[in-house]
Amino acid sequence: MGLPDGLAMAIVYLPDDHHSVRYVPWARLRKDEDDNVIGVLGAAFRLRDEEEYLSATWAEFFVESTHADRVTASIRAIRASNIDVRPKSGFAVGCVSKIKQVCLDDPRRHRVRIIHEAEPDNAAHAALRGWPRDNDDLLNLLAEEIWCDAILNAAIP
Amino acid sequence: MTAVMPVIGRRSPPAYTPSSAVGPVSQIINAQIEELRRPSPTFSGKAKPISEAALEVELFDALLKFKVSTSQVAMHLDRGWRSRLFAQLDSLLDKESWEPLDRPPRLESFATFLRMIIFLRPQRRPGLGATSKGELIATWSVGADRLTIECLPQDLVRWTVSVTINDDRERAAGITPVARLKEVLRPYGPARWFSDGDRISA
Repeated sequence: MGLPDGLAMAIVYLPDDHHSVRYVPWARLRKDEDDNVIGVLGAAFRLRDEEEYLSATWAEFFVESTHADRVTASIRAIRASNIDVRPKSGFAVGCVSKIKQVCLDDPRRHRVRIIHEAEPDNAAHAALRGWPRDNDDLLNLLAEEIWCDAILNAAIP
Repeated sequence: MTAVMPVIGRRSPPAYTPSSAVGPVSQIINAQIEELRRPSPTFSGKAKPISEAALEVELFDALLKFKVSTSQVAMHLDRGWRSRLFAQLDSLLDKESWEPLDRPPRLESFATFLRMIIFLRPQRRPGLGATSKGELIATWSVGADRLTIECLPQDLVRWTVSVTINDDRERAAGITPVARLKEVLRPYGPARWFSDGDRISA
């Protein structure tokens, strides 16, 4: 017997060709010796002890016409959320299918599910469940080749 | 049906006791095993930030300790190199930029960083970052060739390289004592990261 109407909650997986945007603090941005930002660090994707999933924002939740505008809308949503977005921080943008595939291709075969889980402070919030713990090599690979488009907070009005 | 063993002569299994000769690498691995044994959280609670004032004190305290520690080994570092490193630390630990949920890097991690720098003598300074748990991260990047070193307590480093050698992409990672780092990195041609730029005095 299923749940009564109104109580059933459909799980919405982010489509493969969509994108997730993650907030990256200044300390987790990759910099050169003169503090120029050149990417993100694998540590940007490490779960904190108390987290059971990795948080991101679903770019295509927003209906803007271009990818750049949808990413901008995502960044504005993150700024409006409970996250204390700092001036020198940044954001990493990654494609859903590539993130899932690189996790699955890892020798430890992490089956990551990227699910739309709206939160009161961010309607576009996405949870990456089944996210790897204790696999820094994979997180570095993600940061360097997959979830690697870095946008500075200061670059978005 | 369960076989019943005679009571006489039955021994309880010996309790596991680690060897007293475990080295620092084994201790790190043991700590990671302990981490895996911990039950996973049943909810995604959010870490609570400390107050702005407390954070500012912690960051200032960390910065002060780092600079004092660096001054104690000043004879190994060129003055200009050192002052630019201080500017990087000022920037990394700037309270306006610091993530309130993060712990500032620990002195034990910075001590490992300093020993690594003195040991490797890189002409180029690394880019600096930090984990949320208080480990300093040193990075060198030349195009797509990346070296990332997380400085752990007790002179241990967690390193990752991704390089292109003979048109093939190679990745490697490990945990090693600082004293062996030069040897461990040698197959990946570390000069690509460490040469040029500002110099450390000999």
